[in-house]
Amino acid sequence: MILQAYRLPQGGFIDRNKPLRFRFNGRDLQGYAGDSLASALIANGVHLVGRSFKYHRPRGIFSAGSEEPNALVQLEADARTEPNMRATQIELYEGLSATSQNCWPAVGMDIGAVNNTLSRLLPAGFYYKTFMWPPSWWMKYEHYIRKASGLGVSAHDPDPDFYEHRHAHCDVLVAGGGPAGLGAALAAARAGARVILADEGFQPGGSLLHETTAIDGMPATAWTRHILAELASLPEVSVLTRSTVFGYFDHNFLTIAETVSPHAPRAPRQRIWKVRAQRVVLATGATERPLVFADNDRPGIMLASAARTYVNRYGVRPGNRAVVFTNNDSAYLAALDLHRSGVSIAATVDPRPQANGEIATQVRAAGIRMLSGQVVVRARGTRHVNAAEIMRYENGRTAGAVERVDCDLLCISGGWSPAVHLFSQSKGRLRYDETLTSFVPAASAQAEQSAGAARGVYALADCISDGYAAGSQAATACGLSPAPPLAEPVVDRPSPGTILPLWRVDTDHTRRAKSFVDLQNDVTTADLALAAREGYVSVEHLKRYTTLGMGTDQGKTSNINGLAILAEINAAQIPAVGTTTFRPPYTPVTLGALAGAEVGPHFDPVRASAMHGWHQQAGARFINAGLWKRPQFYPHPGESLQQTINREVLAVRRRAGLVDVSTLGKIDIKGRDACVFLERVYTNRWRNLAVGKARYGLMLREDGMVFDDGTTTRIAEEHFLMTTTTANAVRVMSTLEYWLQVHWRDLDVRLTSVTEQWAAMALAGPASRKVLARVASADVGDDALPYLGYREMDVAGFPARVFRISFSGELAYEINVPADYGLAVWEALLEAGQSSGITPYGTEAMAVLRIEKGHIAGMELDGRTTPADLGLEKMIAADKDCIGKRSLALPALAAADRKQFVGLVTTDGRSAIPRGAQLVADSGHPLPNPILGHVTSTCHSPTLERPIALALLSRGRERYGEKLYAMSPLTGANMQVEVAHHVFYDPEGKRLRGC
Amino acid sequence: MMLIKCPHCGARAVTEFTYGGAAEIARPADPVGVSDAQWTDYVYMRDNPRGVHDEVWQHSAGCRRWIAVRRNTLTHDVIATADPGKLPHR
Amino acid sequence: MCFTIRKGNVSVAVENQRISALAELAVPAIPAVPGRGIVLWQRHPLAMLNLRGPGDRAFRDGVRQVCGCELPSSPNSSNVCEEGEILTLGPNEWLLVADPDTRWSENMKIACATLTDVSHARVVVHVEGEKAREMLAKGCPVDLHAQRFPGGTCIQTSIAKIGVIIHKLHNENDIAIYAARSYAGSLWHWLTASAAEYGYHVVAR
Repeated sequence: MILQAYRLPQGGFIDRNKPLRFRFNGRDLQGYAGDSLASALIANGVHLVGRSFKYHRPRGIFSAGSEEPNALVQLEADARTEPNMRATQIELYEGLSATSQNCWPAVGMDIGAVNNTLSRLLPAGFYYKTFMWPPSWWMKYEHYIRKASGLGVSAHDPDPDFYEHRHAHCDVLVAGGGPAGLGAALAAARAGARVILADEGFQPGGSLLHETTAIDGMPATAWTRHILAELASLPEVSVLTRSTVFGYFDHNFLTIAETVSPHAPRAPRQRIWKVRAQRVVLATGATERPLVFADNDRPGIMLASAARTYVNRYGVRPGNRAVVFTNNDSAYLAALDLHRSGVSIAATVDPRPQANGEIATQVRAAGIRMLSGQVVVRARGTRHVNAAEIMRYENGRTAGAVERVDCDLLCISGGWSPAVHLFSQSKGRLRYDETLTSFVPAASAQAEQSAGAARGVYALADCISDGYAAGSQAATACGLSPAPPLAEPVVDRPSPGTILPLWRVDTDHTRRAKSFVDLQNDVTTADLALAAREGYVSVEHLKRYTTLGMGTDQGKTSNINGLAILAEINAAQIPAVGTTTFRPPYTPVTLGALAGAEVGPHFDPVRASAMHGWHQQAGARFINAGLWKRPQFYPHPGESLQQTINREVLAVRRRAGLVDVSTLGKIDIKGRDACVFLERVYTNRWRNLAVGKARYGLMLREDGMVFDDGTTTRIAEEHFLMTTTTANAVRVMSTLEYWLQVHWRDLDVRLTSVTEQWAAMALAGPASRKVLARVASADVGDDALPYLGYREMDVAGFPARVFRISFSGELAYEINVPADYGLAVWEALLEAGQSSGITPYGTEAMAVLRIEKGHIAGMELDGRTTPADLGLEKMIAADKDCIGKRSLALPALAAADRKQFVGLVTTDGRSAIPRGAQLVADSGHPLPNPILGHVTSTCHSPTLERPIALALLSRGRERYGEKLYAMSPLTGANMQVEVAHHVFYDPEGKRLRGC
Repeated sequence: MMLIKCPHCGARAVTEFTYGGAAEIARPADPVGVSDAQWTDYVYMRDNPRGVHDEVWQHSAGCRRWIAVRRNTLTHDVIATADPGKLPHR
Repeated sequence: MCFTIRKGNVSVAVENQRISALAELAVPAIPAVPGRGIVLWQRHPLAMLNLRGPGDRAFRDGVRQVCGCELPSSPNSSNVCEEGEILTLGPNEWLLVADPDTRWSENMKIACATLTDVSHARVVVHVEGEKAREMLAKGCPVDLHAQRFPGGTCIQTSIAKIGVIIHKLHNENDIAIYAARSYAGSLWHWLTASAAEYGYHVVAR
């Protein structure tokens, strides 16, 4: 095998001393450091790289950059595989392995290519037309359609790499490191600005890397190195390579996807930069447009600028005998460079009567055959182009005989389109420029300016100057004094002539062949014509109907041609047709990069109490409560879940239990008006609460629904401690702050969240007093610390707040200690309770205890229940207002048939009542069966030795003793239940009073 | 991503803030004295303007202060920020 | 000192029994990868008080007289004095930070002031090193560049969804991170994972 047969003997921005081995479709090949995968493939004569999306037509390398529609490969295999990677942008590395996509069994022999033969059966909108009937079959069709279409495949194994995000701030962000971008970065940096320059390539420089002209007396590549060296020497300048600015959001927030150099140790694979820039310079360059003619998708057809890039930057020959087809002068540079590199130029073909620029003159001087007033009507060859068919072009029509010119490389250029994607994302307004035949930025919407080719300034010297000016202006706008003006670059480059718009070559001669507008999505001129006939005149509709401009390239090479052809078909003006919306990302971004470091167990932070380590060692199972990890239960070896819960519940009912309640929200309320404030936010009275006493409080939303509940304790005359539920802790704090700061600014109240300051544990059960007394420094008897009493004391030698409150319905104490003492106190209480059979219990047992007692919790506080619904109407003080009270008088909230809080028992005394079951009067009623209510909380009560549940039931309190059915469409359960009072256990509350 | 200038902490990303609804919604001084319709209007009815809108936001990841924000809902321009009730008259 | 709810003094013996939320994580160790890298250390135990007040001249005078330390005069700033540090948290909210043997206490009488003991509510980790700012930028959305964030600046923001106070000490490369105690484990994970690229070691100070 001949190594790199298409490598030029010299030249290029590659390191010929560093050969790299790589593998493509199972073949071992060689390239050089500095190659892209595409250039290395071309060096080895590989042109057939993939198959197209719909027709499975052979496709080759079409461009040399991020606009590539065809040469998409599957990079690497297994867990690290990445689909749809543009070969034109992959930096070659030792051992790289890639395969073609969308072909089976192989790119050279692909069964799906039958779609090309059947193509008349696959018109635009084919999926919508064919597979919609019968509707129920769509799911079946979809399965096969997905298999048959699509591009690469994603990895199935967990990603072995990691990713990260990085926030960055700068004075000037420059997107694009070509001539304008380098100029802008340099001018801004010299003015002292903090500059970030991001370039998508693995070598910054953009078009300078394939430029053969001298700048300021040195080769363009040397000039580029010179500028980069100066930028690297400045501490406030960051030059990011392999970094695509892919999103431009509100208020100059831009996102950059960086592929981290494979050589960086311990670094992430990719990184997302989140940049907030004072000013932005968009130096994103321009994309060359293809020309549209029959079979214009054959391998060996490529953009003229790409051919230039391969020859000049990579030192490879994309063909031996070329035809250059262009409607503007830029492609003549390609003709000259190819010619110089030994590629024979069979002809240049130009629809213009006479190519009038100085560059064309140079081509003529080189003795190249120039066909003026002619067009390529068709490419010949299937797996590789082997000839161009050429006709005369007069008054917008083809005419005369067909001339066939043999070639293995067909370079095309339909003009240039500024890459206005980021500009459009920034909400800037575009304008159509007839002279340039392209959309250019018109009015900025943010602190941004475009420079160079991104705004239609194409001459190299002008690009650099435009960049200088933009960078200087951006620095000035940041309040910096501009550096001395940079000298105008001296560039030896003749000026180009004018472009002749040529959106498609339409000729009877080739009517049955396909002329591709969008190469990636296989959208042809015929598809556009069909869509127009069917009424898709809006460009946004056209896009969705034909898929023009969709896919991984988002139509970078097809959008302008597509809408110009639509304009031609509809005899409309291009500006009137307009563009589709440009949305982020500019090029595809991996999900791994977007997720960053917040994956797996680190998706969200975890909150853990001071006793968390103890719970872990005790074998607790944890449950998420918001971000908190709470012990759910502490299983003993051999126990079932139900046995564990029963054991923990009965320990509390019969002896003593200890539960970690650190997660409850705790808010310190201080100030002269603390009491007034509580009266406004709670439904009940607070004025008459004595110091050293706690009270249960109920809080409403302004719409009258119960918001939260908890106990609040008067610690001193002007000092209260409020507790909230775990779930609402943050919301309650925020709401209280809202009322104080927005509406009641005259109140003297200071709120401080002390949730994190205190470790909290509830000691519950008939033996709890005895246990606490063993470690408490103060009397905890009923006289000294009665029900709803509060005292400060030492517990196990640590300063503690002790509250005589109960959630379980038993005699109980809640003990708060500064969090760093939490573990010590927890352990001391367990030790003190050992002889009394103390048992740690989790949230499951806690839930059973509260269901037995009929206390409300999150399931009942669903935002739809009023105090009266929950049987708490007595909590509303008659002689004062509070948040939400007025709403309770609205007719809907006072309706007699509202759902009310009740208990349920199964009539068989055995069957568990499913959570979420619906309550109906007659389980045999035909559907729809009128629903009377639903089950909110359910459990097996070890205390009562039967299943019980809580429910919200229409007119529930009138139904005690009534038999209904609980039906669960999820479990299929259907059982008879009897309505009961919601307090199943100790309704008189003797036990919690503990006397 | 919007940048909101907290009067206390300076300009911060919108992700640090929590939206709190329209500003200057006066709570009836005597809730019992207003009709059901007036009360419902206060609780539920809000304008949804296309253009300039006065709002309250809490700088929940920062100083936790509620602030008034005058914002253009169409362009996302943040026109002014101040302590609640302190926005200049329009 | 007087950092508990009790009126009397907590004995030194009790204070010494404080167990940090990072007790098992921020363990000093020889760096796995030596080099310049990042140095992490936990400041514990600390006394912390939340101070509320109107921020007017009389109030400032009161604070100066009682605490022996001036309130910081501008937003996002701190003041370090012999007794401890005062960090600005908001227009009428400050955090007093001191060693546990401080005379600052919840019971100080300052006109119009409210003091709440929050000594146990936060963990404090210092991140030191040339790469400290770069490392924190992996999660911190606020610009920590010396131009915008000189020594003495303190702000509140979020890192990896964890609410934090970031306090830059007067040494440009020494940054203290305060986070709520319950988030300590997640904060530590984030710090060490983010520092891994540069190499880090954990020390006791």
